[in-house]
Amino acid sequence: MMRLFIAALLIGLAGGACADVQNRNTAAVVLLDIPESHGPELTNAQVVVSILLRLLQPQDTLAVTRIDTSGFGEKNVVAKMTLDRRPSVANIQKRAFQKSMRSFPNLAKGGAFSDISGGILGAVDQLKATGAARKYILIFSDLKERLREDYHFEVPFQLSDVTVLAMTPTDRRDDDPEADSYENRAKRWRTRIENGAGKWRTIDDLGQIETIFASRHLPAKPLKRAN
Amino acid sequence: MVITESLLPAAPNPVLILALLLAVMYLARKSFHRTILGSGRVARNALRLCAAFLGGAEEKIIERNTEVLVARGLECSEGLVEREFGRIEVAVTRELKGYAVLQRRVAEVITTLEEDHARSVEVPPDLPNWTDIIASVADIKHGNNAVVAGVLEEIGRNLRAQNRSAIEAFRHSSAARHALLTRMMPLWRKVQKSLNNVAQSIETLTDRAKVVERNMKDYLEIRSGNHRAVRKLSSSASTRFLVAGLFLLVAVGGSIVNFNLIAMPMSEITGSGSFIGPYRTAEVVALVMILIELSLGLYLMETLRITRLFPLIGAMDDRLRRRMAVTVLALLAALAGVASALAFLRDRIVADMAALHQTLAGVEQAVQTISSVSTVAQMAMAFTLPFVLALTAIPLESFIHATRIVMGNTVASMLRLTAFVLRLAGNLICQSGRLATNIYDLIIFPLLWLESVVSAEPLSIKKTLEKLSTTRPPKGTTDTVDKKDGHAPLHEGGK
Repeated sequence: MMRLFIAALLIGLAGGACADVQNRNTAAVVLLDIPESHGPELTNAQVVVSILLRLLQPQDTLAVTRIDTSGFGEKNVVAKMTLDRRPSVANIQKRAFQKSMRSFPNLAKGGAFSDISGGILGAVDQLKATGAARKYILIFSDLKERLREDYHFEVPFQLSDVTVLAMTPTDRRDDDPEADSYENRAKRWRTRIENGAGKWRTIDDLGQIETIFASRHLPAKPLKRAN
Repeated sequence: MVITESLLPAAPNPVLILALLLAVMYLARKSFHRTILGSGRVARNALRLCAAFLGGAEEKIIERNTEVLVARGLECSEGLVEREFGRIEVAVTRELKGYAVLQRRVAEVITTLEEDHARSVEVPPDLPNWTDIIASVADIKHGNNAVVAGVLEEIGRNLRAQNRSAIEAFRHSSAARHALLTRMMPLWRKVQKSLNNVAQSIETLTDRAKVVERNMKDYLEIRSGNHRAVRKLSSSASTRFLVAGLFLLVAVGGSIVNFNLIAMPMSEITGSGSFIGPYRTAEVVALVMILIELSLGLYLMETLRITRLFPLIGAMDDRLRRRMAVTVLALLAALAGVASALAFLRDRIVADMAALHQTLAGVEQAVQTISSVSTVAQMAMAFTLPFVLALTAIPLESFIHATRIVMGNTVASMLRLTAFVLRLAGNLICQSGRLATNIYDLIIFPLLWLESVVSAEPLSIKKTLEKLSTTRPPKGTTDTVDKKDGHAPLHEGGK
């Protein structure tokens, strides 16, 4: 009888350790476009990263990447981490990430380019590598792509299971309503994203981020399409 | 088109339609009556059959319930009698073990008392009548004879000396007797005390015997299947069901508290990101741990023979059972220790989380001092709760036994109610059929009246009665029902 108890206990604990894991992890890549005139966006990005750090759970992944260069590569990654499965270690990782994000603005200088397409392609690669169930790309940009003249190309996106969240910039002084407004650019990007089987959503309020990531363990609901 | 219009009237005459309808209804009267009344009877019989079946099932359930109740009552009574006999055995063994010592002590005391008594009985010799003799000797006339006077004087002196010596001896003897008698008092008290103890023991045994007698009386009453005893047992089962249910609710509350104490820190062991089904692995493991604690508690109570859910454990060899109890207790203590450690970890994780959230929110952190009181309280709670949950086995057993009875009673009541409803429905359907036939006849009453007028013959009352008695159909046929309902019997050629 005692053996049965011990076996049951061990099976319970071992079952916990080696359970058939249902992947419910979340992976998010933050794409930062930091032109010189967009200082407030960096602050917003920091706030959003703090929110994400608070909401992400062990085994989730977070990466922050710059897209203010022409071309995209590993050098653009500002910080990246996959949280440990133990909450205490995950907390230490979050602190380290927060620290690196705090020191980032001192080193960051706005670039002359803005490679949003390259950033999205790189982010998709990173997200797929994590194998997470929920994949998000957060874009802090005015959605104006500024590439080198010899860099112009349009690769179709493969964004199945990826949701792209475009953070509406707070400062739109350089928008020309007559010519090419932010809304028009957002519509074009949305078309591109949806053509690549991805989901598009514009975020006007940071609270929406909290809502999206807090409900991460609930069954996925179809996101409301942006107008 | 023209032909059709010429054949059919533009608007049907309602009176004609009504007359046709009444005629059809009149012609179909007998069939209608038979159909409706037959259907009603079939439905009533079917429902009655169902009700009878349910009644039988209810009786069986009640019978089985009573058997279970009586068996349970007998078991309880046997347990009580057994316990009282056990107590009597313990008392008798204890008293008998000390009885030899007591008897020897009492015998010794009594021997001492007898000896003392015998010694105290030895009366010292009475004092001789020295005074008279001395006076007689002193009164002898010696006639101034010096020799005689000297002799007499000597005799007198000797006699006085012997007198003093005798008095002295008498006093010593009396003192010794008094001393013996004085020493007898504590001995008597000792004897009295010993006898009081014996009397008290006998009184205790008498009380136990009375309890046994009372329990035996209950036992016999239950065994005889006395209605009062069964009802008393049933009422007792309901009370036990409620009380045990209340205790189990408290235990569920304790389990929830324990779960909250250990589920979160369990993720440090199992990881926080894995799920089993829709639940976190850490939560499932915490739940399993609590269930194991409950099971261990159950086994502990079984091995201690407090509960009797598993007869196999109760029937085990005493030594094996004791070993098992010790092992289960050790496992329970180990789990309590693990739970306590997890509670400690929880406190640390919660504090760390709070600090992290403050950092992420950009709030400057105040110097945090983790209160050791809350930590210790949580640890103590997590350590104690498994043992408290272990005691749940007692109300659980009571609840299981009482549930069997209460559920049986409930099912029997439901069956009774259903049978009643079925009978009622059957009767209602049957009576509704009769009502329908009456209404039917009411609708076509002009034709019925016409029929009675046309077929009326000037018969005397006597002949009419004779005719009725000879043409009365067998009981249970439609015509009987019709007659009972006050309708005129149907005539084959009444159309």
